[in-house]
Amino acid sequence: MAQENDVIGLHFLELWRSNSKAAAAAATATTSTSSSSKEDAEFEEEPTELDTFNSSGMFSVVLSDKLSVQYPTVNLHGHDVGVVQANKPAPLKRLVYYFEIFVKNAGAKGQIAIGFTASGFKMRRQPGWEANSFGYHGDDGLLYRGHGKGETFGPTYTTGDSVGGGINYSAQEFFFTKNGKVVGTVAKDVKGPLFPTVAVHSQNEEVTVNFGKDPFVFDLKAFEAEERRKQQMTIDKISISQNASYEIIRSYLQYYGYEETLKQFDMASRSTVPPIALGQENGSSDTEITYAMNHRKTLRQLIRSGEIDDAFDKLRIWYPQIVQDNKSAMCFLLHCQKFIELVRIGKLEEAVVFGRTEFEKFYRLTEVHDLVKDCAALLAYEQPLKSSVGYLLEDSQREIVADAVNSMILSTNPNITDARVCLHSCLERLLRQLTACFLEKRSLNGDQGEAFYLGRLL
Amino acid sequence: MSLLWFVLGQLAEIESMGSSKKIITKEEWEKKLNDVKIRKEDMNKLVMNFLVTEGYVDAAEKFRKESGTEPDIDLATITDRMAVKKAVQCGNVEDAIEKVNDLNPEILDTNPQLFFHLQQQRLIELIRNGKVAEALEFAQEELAPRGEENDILQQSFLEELERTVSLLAFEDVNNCPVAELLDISQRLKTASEVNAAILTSQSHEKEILLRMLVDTYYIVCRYALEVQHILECSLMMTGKQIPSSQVC
Repeated sequence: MAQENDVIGLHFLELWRSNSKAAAAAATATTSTSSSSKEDAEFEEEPTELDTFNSSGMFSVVLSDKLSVQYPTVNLHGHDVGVVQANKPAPLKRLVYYFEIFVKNAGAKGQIAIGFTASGFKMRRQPGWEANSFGYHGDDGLLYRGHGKGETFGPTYTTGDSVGGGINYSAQEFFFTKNGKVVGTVAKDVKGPLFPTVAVHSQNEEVTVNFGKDPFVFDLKAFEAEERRKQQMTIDKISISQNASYEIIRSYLQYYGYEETLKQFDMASRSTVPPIALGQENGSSDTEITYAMNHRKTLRQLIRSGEIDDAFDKLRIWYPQIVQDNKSAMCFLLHCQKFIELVRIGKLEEAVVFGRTEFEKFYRLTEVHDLVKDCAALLAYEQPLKSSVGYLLEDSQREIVADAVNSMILSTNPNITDARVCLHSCLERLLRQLTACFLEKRSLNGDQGEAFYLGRLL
Repeated sequence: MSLLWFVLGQLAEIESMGSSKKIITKEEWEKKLNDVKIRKEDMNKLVMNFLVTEGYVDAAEKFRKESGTEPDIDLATITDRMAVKKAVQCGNVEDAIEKVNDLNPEILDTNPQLFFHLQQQRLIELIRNGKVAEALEFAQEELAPRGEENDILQQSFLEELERTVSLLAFEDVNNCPVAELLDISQRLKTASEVNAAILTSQSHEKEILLRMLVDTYYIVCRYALEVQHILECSLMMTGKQIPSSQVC
């Protein structure tokens, strides 16, 4: 395939390829939780139970469900605390991490603690009594953070209380709750993985832990929503031109050739209160993205309804240079789509004939072997939609072809020097910058906290 | 306010963060940008959300046809909502209240703050039209009791009420301390509050997000319009004419 001028075609082939990989991954996934390719990057292990391997098994007893711990004997001094950590450290890549304990029995002295400790913690001391550990203790309601002396923090807690401990990555704080209400926060000045930790110290104390399998007493979702709202407040103080969003939407519609929508949008925005003055601030690129809008709209419609032959005809008349080279990525995309459409309407024999004549030339090109295989595989299934190549029959595949044609036509504009300008709309560039900035910002922060993902917002 | 607004705000915040502590080469950055996967589907949804929230029914209909994106709100409800918004924007508050109650009588019942703001707007319009006696009667009979009903919001209601009534005390309303109440931005603020309340009552899952986003609308809208107002004022020949009456 001609490499130099095929930047656009190759870009969309890559897009197809990533869809194919995602579909293949989804098909072979054994876990019930399916995640988009975005969130795979965000996947982190999280605590699910207590770690019996590492705990000070001499003093406390973890029950077989690994979610309860008891202190059976009598404690003698300050170095026989029954401390247990979770099996995994708290995950970083989210806004907040939280877990809860329920005090089943406060025992003789109610010397229970909940908190966070680092991996090298001395497992015979209360969390908070050693450096790099934090603990909220039930007997005195104090917060301990690395010294023997605690600080006034919250109420004491005892049998029947649900106490929670959390890390707020946005505010870089620990927070603790009692029976659903936040009792206090303390700055998090320790880095590195932190394990949710529970401790019992006097006879007959018993505590159960909840890492999220059951609903929390504390309304975590409301808390997260409030945190996000606080972040939003800082954004409020920045004034954004009201026109900015209109310009971006307008540019998006022009770029992808949504001509009818654009007409309605323009009409409506003229009669808004107060009227929006468009096109004055950003005059330069207006003409470039309205180039050939009518043609692009027509071709998008044809491709979205599966009429590939018509699309080809129109292209041959209007933009022959795009379909000239039979071996170009663009032609490949279109031919594959035609094949897919034939399969969709059940004309399998015709599809096979078409495939034999058209795909032959593409078989020699190793770069697209995987994609040709996917197409051919459609023939193997009685119900192709349910197979791993079912994604080809979805709208998203037609969309790739339609967007590819759109970009190619934009690139035929004699005023464009670099074809790559035609690859992304302004909105897409904006979203990429935003996502990349957020990721960078987060990595500067020790990779803690939420990133920006459009999918999550939606 | 739409999700797009939220997105722009995020970007603006990053831009305003000032100097960075890390140096990244252009090639590195280009690579990071390329690694980001943005789905066309998601961008379409963002655009649809914008059209729907702003109330562009016809554009949303066309966009649905042209892009195959389904709106997350029933388009039929948009026209009703927009009618209410427009009524407030033009100062026809009684009409707006009637329409809201037709749509869903619970909205105003469960939203004392919104109802108060609508009544406050009614008062403002009476004052604007010089109906002093009617305004006073309305304030005393309709608004003051509201302030007494609701304990939590009582203080702020009564303060707002006093501010509004004080408009009557000034000869030159445009230059008095509470002149902003007569400004169109006040109408827009109330209009968007109604818009948000209707949206919230109609959609189920995205309540919190929308409410969050609408909170920003007041402040940003006010800033944007203060600038616009200053421009308009500087263009106007006389100082007596009230700008808002020209718009509807």
